Amino acid sequence: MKKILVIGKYTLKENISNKVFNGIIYFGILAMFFTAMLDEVALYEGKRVIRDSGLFLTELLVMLITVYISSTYVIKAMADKSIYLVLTKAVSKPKYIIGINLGIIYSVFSNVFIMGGILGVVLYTKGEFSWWYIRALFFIGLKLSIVGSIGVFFSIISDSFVTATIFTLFTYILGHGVMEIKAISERMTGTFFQWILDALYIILPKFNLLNYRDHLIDPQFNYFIVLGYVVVYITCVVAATIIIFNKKRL
Amino acid sequence: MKNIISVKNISLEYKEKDLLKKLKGKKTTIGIKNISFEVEEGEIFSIIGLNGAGKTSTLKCILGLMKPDSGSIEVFGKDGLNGRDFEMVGYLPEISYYPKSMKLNELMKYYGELYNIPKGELNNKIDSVIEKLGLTERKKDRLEKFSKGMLQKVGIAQAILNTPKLLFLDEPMSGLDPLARELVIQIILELKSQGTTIFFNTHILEDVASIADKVAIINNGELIEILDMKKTMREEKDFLLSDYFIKKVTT
Repeated sequence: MKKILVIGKYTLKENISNKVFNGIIYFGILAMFFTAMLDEVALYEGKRVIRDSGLFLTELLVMLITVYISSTYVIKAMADKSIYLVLTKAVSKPKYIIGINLGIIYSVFSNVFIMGGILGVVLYTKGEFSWWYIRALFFIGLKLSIVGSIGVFFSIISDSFVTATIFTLFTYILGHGVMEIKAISERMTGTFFQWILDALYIILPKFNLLNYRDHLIDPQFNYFIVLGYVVVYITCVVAATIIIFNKKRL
Repeated sequence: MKNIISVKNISLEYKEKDLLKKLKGKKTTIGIKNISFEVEEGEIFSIIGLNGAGKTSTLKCILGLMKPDSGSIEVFGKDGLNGRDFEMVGYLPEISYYPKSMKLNELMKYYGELYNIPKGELNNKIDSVIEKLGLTERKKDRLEKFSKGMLQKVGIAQAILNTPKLLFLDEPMSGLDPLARELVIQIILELKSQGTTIFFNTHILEDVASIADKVAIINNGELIEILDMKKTMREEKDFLLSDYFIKKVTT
């Protein structure tokens, strides 16, 4: 367990010093300040526009960072041989993969809370800050943690980071349309496509569950079920990654 | 003397990735072919060969980074290197990347934590290893400021940080100036005098001749011969490893 935490900590440190990572963060911080100006042009809906566009920007930019770091990290470590230095220090392949995933989860949440923190200050000054906002950020973090584990998975099964990035992005997009996939599948009863769509519905992450706004009107909404779903989904993806990584010749 | 490493008939093939070659029917490339040897405790064992001869593949198989297609490997009397056995092992890869934004002492701390070196001992160990390699003044510098030779020294420092019982060095002299090479030779000999078994790959034959107890010559993935250096030097006073090597790999 200790080694997993050590790998997680150093993965975060490496990510923080990554130039692409930093570039997007700086851009995000700048974008948050520009979002604050929307108040002037949005007439009576200014605060809501700031909040919604700020959350949208946070998710979009952190998603881009997450897809980039998760789908390139292991491929880069294999290409520059730095992976050997870790695996020859009594770190098993499963521990390495879990550690990397943990480091990416740390990175996701630190990014979400850096960008979200700035937006939070803007909202606070406008009198719009509430716990709803913190919970929305947490849900974005959960969603992007799933994206991170998927990115690592694709980087293990493909040797090219371009392919891994494209597959991760597609999964992110399709994950938002699982309900539509289910609806199409129900119309195609008895066909081969229905089988494919059903399989996709089962495999793809259900990001509709992590859209916090959808649950605001539902007082019966159980947060623990959603958290449990995220934990189980990430565990399954990490387990699949470990199985494939164990068979991979380094 | 007991055997620390025992390699029996290992073979390894690489799957061809080039589609054109695949279409022409070439599906695999031979990495290593039926290699066997033993390394005794406390000796310096070196594998020499041309580029692509199979030196690194052999080393990776022993380290468990690659699984051979056939054959068996025993390290410390057990089937392959596993789990905590790695805490007694040091490894310097042929070429390695270190996160450039990290400071030298941060990197050493990272590897020390992975080696499970107790916190109380870690700082002293880092200081002593860094001093041994003449890097004390650069301890707080970021690795992006280090030259190629200095990064090679960093690689050696991380490999001996845990005072290993078995040390693997893949081209340890690569990128080093003559003074640094001499320093590394001294470190290798010092570790040997403390009982460390050293396994190293190189194509710089002068270094091998001066420090190795046994030398395995490998060519096109096949082991050609294992030389007992002391015995050979005793029997042939004018023996030149470089001449012998060239003769062996060209015939």
